[in-house]
Amino acid sequence: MGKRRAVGATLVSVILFSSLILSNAAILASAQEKASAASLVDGESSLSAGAVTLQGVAGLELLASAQTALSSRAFQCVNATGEAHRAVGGLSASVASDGISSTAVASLGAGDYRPDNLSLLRGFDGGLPGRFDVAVKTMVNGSYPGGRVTYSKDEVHVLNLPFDPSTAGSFCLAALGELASSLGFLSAGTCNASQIAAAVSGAEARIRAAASPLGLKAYVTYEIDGGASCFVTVDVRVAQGDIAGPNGPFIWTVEEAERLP
Amino acid sequence: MRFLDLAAAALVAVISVSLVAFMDPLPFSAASQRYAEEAALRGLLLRIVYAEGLPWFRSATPRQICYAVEAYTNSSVTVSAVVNGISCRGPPPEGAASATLTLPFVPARVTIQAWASAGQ
Repeated sequence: MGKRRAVGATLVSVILFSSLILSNAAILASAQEKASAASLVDGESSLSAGAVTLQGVAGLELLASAQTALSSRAFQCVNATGEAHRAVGGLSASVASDGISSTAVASLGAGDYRPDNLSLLRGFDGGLPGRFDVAVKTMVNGSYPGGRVTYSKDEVHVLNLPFDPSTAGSFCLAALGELASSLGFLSAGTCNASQIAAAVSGAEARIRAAASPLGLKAYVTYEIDGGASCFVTVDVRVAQGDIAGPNGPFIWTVEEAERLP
Repeated sequence: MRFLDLAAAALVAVISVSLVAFMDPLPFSAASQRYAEEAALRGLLLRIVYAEGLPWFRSATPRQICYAVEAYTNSSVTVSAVVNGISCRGPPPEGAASATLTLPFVPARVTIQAWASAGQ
């Protein structure tokens, strides 16, 4: 009798402990699964935050390169906007951090006038009338440690620098027109140096006065060609300053020379 | 015979208790909580970047960056920054849930970091 009782007690304890172990295993599996899911979510959140940030950083660095290119020399007055796009097109910027890399490449053409979602860039995102807009392709790639989450995204954004290249370009062409008109007497064969100097000086004063309200600065130089015929080469240089770029204020300059008459 | 029964029962009990102790779900629960905390801290860092804007972080001085990000510090979260390797304050305390967001600008590499304050 006593022996049967002991065996029964042992069996009961085996059943009780087994069910305890099984239920604990279920709790453990659930906690493990939850931790794994949380790790995955954390990886996704980390990649997503890093990707959007690096996309913005690459875009901003590209605009900084564009600023350097646009302020490095004087561009032609004719089709100034096209000139600016040619200078910027193909520029690229790459950045990397924490297993994520991002590259931004500027297209040759202009972007559309449309808002953009890279609002991290504040005023530099989106295409706006009166601004120099640049279509930028961004490529972001990354992976979370362990390779359980990978991220790859190519997008096209429109960014801008706050100036219109055509403002200085058009003004420059108009200034050349003004000079041509002021030196109209050259067509009659008149070649008096002091008369030429007075005409250029008068035109320059008018051009400078007109440039100021537009935020432009204009400079006129001229040269009289010696020889049998009388030719005057006039050169107009128009600068738009204080353009707020990512590297600080910069100057956009256009220049055109014309031989008169 | 009775001795054998007792020994068997004791063995089952010892093995079972050891297994239950070994299969502790608490570390996994703590890890889940830590992941959640770190994701929340990362969300805060992203909000700070959106609030200030990338152009500002690129052009600001280290002092301005330190001042701006530390304004987000409160009783539960400490926010700091490292600009070109120079930290506004020391690193996060060992073991604290933390998150970082790096802005690798060409002029200066800016890393902003947040960690749960002690006792949280």
